[in-house]
Amino acid sequence: MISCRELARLQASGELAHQPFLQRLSARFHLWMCKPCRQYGDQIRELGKVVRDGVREASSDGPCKESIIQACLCPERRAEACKGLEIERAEGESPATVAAARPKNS
Amino acid sequence: MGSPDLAGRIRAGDEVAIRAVVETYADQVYRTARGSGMGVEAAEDVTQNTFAAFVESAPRFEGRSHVRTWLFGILYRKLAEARRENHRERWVEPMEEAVEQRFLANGRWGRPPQRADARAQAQEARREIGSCLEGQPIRYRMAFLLREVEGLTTEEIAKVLGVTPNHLGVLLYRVRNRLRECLESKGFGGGGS
Repeated sequence: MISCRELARLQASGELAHQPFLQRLSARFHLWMCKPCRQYGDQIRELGKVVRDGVREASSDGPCKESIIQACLCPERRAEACKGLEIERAEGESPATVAAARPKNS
Repeated sequence: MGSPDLAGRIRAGDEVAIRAVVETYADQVYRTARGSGMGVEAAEDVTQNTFAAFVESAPRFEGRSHVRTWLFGILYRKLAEARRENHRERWVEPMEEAVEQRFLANGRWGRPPQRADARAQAQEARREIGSCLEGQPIRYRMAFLLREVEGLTTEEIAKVLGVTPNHLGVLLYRVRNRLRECLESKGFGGGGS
């Protein structure tokens, strides 16, 4: 049977749902038998909910959309916003792709 | 939203197209900036800059990826940049070790998690989770926020962060355990058992 350590990894990485049928069945059986693993799963889900509620509450005011649009329409502001992003040399790549090529120090 | 036509309209400075993108995605971008630990003013600034950079980079976009993925990719770069400038990168503690120590050699729980009185603790935990989240590297925070708050798919988040889906699983595993351990160290979730 799948170990507690492996089940914890699958639950926290979000990979459990993508496992083959037999692996998922084994995980379900394990969860049914093992209280600590059920509690671990509950905590992982609760963690998501706490952050989701907290972030939504903290940002409920929302940004000023008119200011964003004005920034988008201002050429100087747009050029300024691109500084450091190296978008100009990223032909055919997403910013994330360019970021991936940079040293991973963040 | 992600048609090749959209990039052309934005490139041409079509205000209607720009408005549509801002109306659709501004709240998500702002929310992620706030969730990453920025104050209201800084989050407003980075949201404006993200959209301005998006419009400026529209010639490179050309519908290759989803607008949302492109926007979050820019935001991720901006948050990483701001973090470097503020020299605030700090690691709470080696949480991986703390997690590993919970298991016995046979893979079973040595120090199992305890059931928390979730309802009673949620409000308090919400206050504490901010500092726990802020202590994590920006890549971890983004992975967690994009998954838990914005509900992006594995493929989308992997693209935003420039990692493989497998690596994203590792990031999520680590950040969830770090946050869990951090909250437990603050007395939530029956820590100290």
